[in-house]
Amino acid sequence: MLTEEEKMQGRRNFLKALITLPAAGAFAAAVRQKQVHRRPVQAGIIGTGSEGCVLLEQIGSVHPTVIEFKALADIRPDNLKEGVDTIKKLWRTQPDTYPDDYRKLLERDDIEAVVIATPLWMHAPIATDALRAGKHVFVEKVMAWGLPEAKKMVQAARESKRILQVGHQRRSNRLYASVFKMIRDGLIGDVYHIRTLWHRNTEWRRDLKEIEPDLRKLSPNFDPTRWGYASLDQLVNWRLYRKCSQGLMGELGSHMIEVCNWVIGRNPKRVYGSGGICRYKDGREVNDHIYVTLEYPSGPISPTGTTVTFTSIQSNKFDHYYEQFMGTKGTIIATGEVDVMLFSEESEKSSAVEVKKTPAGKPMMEASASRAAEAAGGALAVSAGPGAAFDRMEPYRRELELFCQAIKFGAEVPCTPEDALAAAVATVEANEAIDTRQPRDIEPKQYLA
Amino acid sequence: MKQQRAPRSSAIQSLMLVLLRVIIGWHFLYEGYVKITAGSWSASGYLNQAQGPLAGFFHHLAASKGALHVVNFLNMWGLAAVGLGLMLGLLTRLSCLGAMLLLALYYAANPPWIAVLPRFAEGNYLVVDKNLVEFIAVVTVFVFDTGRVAGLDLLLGAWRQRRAARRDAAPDRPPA
Repeated sequence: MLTEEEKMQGRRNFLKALITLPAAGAFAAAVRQKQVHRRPVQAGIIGTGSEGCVLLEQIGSVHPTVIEFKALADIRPDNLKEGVDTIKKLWRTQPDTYPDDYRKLLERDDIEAVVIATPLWMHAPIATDALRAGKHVFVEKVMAWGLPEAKKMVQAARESKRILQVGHQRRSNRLYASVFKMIRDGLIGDVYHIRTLWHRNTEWRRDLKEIEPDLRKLSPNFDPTRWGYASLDQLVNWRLYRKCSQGLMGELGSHMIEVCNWVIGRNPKRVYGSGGICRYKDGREVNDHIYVTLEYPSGPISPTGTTVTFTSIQSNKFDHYYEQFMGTKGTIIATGEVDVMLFSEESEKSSAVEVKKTPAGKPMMEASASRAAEAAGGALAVSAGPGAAFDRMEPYRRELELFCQAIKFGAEVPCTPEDALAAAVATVEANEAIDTRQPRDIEPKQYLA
Repeated sequence: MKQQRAPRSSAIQSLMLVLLRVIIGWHFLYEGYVKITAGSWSASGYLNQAQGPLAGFFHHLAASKGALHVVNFLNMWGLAAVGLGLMLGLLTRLSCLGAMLLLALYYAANPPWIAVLPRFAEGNYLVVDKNLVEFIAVVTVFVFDTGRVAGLDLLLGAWRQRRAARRDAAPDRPPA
């Protein structure tokens, strides 16, 4: 027969034996929660033209699947078909389609997020409607055609408490993250000047004769004027019309401005510009040659400020596109979003730079002044061209993965609405400066939504 | 002269040791769980990237289909079993030995030495890495036998005691 003390000891031991069982319960609960989070984001895509299909191709190659597209909307029948075919190929599902009205897609409760890759002038109306419908939004850059509507987008995101991410994909480019770190760590010293350019030798016009026959086969009576386009040419070549596009500054320059804002840690305070339609007198409304200078106030990389120049021409492609960060101790050139070169100002102490594959989240490049330099001092060019470590399309995948992580786990988006607004302000002001041939002062409050 | 026994751990000391055991167990169990549920997990990439003096051995394991199959199974289910054992304090010392073996293998596959470039290692602090830190933590848990402080080993121990007592109390068989 057990004594009371023995019984008490027995009970105590029994409790001690079971005391760690709750840990197993907590583990099971955590795993269950993770399974819920692993469910792909349920999304729709609005705009499945060239850029929209690039986004689908890139995020569709990610496994396990992080996003599923249940529906798509595009007013162009050929783009709609391309989008459906792409989703069927990559996800093996048949999405619902909304060719006439994207709002019907936004009414669906089973869709929690939308990806928007329409012509620029439609970014703000669609994104704002989507946010107000309670959807998380990923919208291509530039965030909006005009500044008042851009600010409304930011406000809509805040009020709806939904994610708004803008597709300035250099923020998701690990090479640029390394460039940013190297410059902010002072590797090239103070940077007073950044030269950026995007030079091409192309007319940038799509040939209607190649597009219209297929489009008419799908929809013989297709009429773009229903959606505000003056003609089929304006729909297909929207980039060449001022109503729909911010021209070279919007399509190309905004990337450079966004990177410079990021690296410099400030927004431009003044912009000068010039340009014109120099070569392609084909009825287009946007300039085919532009030359812009942006002045930045003092900040982390320069005690007295940095001046950025951006040129974009359509008559010569020799220079391709790059950003050249000119520091007192060295120069970094990032070319084509895949190559980075580092040059030291002092020939006897060169820095070696490697581009290598590393686990996600780690810098792509390590640069150290203490490493021995290669011969022929000064420059070590590292190419990540064909067959090399860095894939130019990776940032497109990454930005959408980060969008999904922001939705599921509250992770930070790589390009916040405020970052994108700053790029939009500078872009629009640069175009104003080009048109008026007058310098434009940009007050800090203009960057506030 | 009577030898003095080492002082017993205070309640808070025991609690911290049990907590250490449980979170190590959680880590192992989770690692096993994600590999088992991934469906097509394989150690081949990890083994192929092995470096250091035992690299040849690990590469050989990756190259052999049969050996790789065994390694994959033992790794996935070993992690899960060790994790569960540590978390629940069941067969704690055996689980600790399993954990120590696994960690020793991971350490050997990517030793954090000057001449070895880190690849899969999470941190390289010259001889010390997270595998080594966890290894020493497991040794600590082993030495203190926390399964008998709080864990299912208490019930197992009681069951064994009762079985032994029944055996001792059984009447002697009469001679033939």
